[in-house]
Amino acid sequence: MPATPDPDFGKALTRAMDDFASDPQPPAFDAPAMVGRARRRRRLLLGGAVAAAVALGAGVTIGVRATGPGPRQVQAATPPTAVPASGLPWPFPSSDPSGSPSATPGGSSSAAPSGTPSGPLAGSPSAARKTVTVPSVIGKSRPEAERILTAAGLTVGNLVMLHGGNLPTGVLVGTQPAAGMDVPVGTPVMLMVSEG
Amino acid sequence: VGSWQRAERPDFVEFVQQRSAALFRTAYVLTGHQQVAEDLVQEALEKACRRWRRVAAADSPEAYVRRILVNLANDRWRRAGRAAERFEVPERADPHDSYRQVELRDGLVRALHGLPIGMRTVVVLHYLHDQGPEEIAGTLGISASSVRSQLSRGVAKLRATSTDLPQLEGA
Repeated sequence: MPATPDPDFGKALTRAMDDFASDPQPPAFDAPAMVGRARRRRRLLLGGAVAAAVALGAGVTIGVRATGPGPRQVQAATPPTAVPASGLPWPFPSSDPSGSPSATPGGSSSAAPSGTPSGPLAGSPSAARKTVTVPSVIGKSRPEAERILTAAGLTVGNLVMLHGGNLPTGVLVGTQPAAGMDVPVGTPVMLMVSEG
Repeated sequence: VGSWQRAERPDFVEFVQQRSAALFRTAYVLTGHQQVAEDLVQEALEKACRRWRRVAAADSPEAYVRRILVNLANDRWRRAGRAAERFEVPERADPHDSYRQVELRDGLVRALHGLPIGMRTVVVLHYLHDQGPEEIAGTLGISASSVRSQLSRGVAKLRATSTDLPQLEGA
């Protein structure tokens, strides 16, 4: 026990706190609701993972049309880091932290790990065929983002307008597939643009 | 304020029923503010719920959640900066207390809430929860010697504030 200068004072202090603590009626906490929220949250994260896989799968299917066989390895390359980013409310997908990615223009067909330094996903052993890493275009204007994506060998997909957040109007707040994903050349990338 | 011992893995809902009041007391003494205390407990319980398996496997789930709680409080205070350091202790007259006791108690409690959050936490864990420096050190992730020095400085400050209060011995 630490040196209590004066045990009486200590006792008075304890009593004061104890007494003070008894003033308010302790509120009721809704435990079942918390359990529900925790469960939903888990499901949401899981759902995010599934959505990412599905999105990637869709990208792959289109990619197959465009580029030929070899989709399976790509699907295996879903980076775990991409999962939370694709959660539902989309508070600015957190793709790669490196900011602006230098989109390495000019086809960049076989050498996938160009734009982003994310390690694990570059790996998938036999996926050395035509995949590219989606560059990060967050914060760029839409025309610029389109230019970067096409230069990286991707195509421009749907446009989704999002609002909220603190980004200026008209800039890219995310893509699907998210930046850092390895996808087949020609994959359409959905653009999410802030509308203020 | 007994610790919560059980043989079986406790159920979260049951835990909340049985222990949330004690956690709320801690939070209330620590913050001096009912709504803030409630929010803190709510947040701590939500966190605990998300990792309940781990919490339930702990020697004392209550101590585990209390650790979450006091660290949340400390984080929040530090983030809010010194401006938010002090919550006003609401005026109250407790009919069960004699006037003098209320005064003494409120003086001490007010002085307590004037301490920096880290020091305050140390004092609360020691005097309200009877925790020793090692245990407190483990809870807050600081050294035991730092706990000791904060404790003695904290008590000295509280003492200094309470010298002008009517006789201490009576309490």
